[in-house]
Amino acid sequence: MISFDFEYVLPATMEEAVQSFQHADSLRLEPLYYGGGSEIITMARIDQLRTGAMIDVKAIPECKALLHQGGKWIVGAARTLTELAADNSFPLLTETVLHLADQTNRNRITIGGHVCGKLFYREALLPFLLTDSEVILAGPRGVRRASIHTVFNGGLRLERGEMLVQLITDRRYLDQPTYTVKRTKIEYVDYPVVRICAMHTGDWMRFAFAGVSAVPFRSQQIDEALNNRSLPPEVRINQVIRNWPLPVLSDMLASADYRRFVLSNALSDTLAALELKGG
Amino acid sequence: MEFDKRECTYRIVKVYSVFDAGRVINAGTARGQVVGGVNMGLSFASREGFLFNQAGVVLNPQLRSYKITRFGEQPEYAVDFVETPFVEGPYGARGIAEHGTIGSPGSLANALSIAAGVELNELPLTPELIWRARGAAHDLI
Repeated sequence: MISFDFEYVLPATMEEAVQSFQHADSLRLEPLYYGGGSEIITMARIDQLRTGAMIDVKAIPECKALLHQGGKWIVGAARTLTELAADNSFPLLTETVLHLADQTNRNRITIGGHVCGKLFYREALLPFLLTDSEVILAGPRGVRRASIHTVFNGGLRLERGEMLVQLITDRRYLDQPTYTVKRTKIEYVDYPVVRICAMHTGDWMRFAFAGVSAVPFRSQQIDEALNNRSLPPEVRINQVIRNWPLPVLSDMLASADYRRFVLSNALSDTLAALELKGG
Repeated sequence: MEFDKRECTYRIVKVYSVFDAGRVINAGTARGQVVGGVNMGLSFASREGFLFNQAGVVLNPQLRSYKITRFGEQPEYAVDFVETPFVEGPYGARGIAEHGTIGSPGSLANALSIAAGVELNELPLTPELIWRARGAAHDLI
């Protein structure tokens, strides 16, 4: 049971949604944009989250987009993980989301809620980091288009009152050779101890990580180290783990040294698979 | 059981349970007791357990974080009974409710100890625990 009262708003446009947010914010209602609700409801029920206003973005046409247009694949933030997997325009994304939560939850988790929520794993963000996607954001200062790296890589940098509307991906990246691996503590359905998504774009490999540190990220420095073919794979991997740019998590799922061990094996599998697929 | 020597992960493939039931009165119910009990035992042998912070607060108070085995993870169960009538029991039957639960953690730990080449005498038997136990063994050599 949710033990507090809140306003529920279902705006029909982006502008209306942003205005509703600002209005509720001015009344100190701590408003939240609401997608599928899986995270908000779960946390509200155990009193880990309180809000006085939920602004549901599912009636906004731009948030429900799912189409190819002018060489781009456009995904509305209110589309569910199940819908993205069924669409299957981006096989790496399909493979990633199919090993994320369970079917019942995927049916309601939206891509927008997943990448903007409080849970920091955000595994479905990784494929979009590999493709250098762009995002459309709506906020008090209007609608803007930005690189996914500026707003989402290595932590959330949305402005107050800003909502994700769409993710836009260049179509040429959708069918590159890819590989993803997820390792958990023991359960198949659990948060990742290590999640890697990787892509081979011709002669260059790209890598993105979740679960290892407290934010999902892609790093230029790691991409370069792993692409350094003058060194054998295990040396590259050791280098990357030694120079990991963020603190490695140590929590209920895994200690930091065990995480490094799992990461090392997962990276070794990833490099082997990519070299096989990418030639 | 299948054990991945590199990752220290494992999968339980088939479980054998044989009990002296005194006399089996209802074969379906008897099998159900054993299968349910073994499953419960394997769940707490492999993953269950409360985790505490330094203040003694339970960190996994919900089923989201306190994991139990899921339906799709069930091994194949081979259950059979020996019948030595128990003179004090009804129709010679003996209680069989808890045996599956009690026996399965020990058999999992023994199987994993052989596979991993190191004595595992703690629960739950997570891949991290096995990895740590093997690492300590290597250090001693």
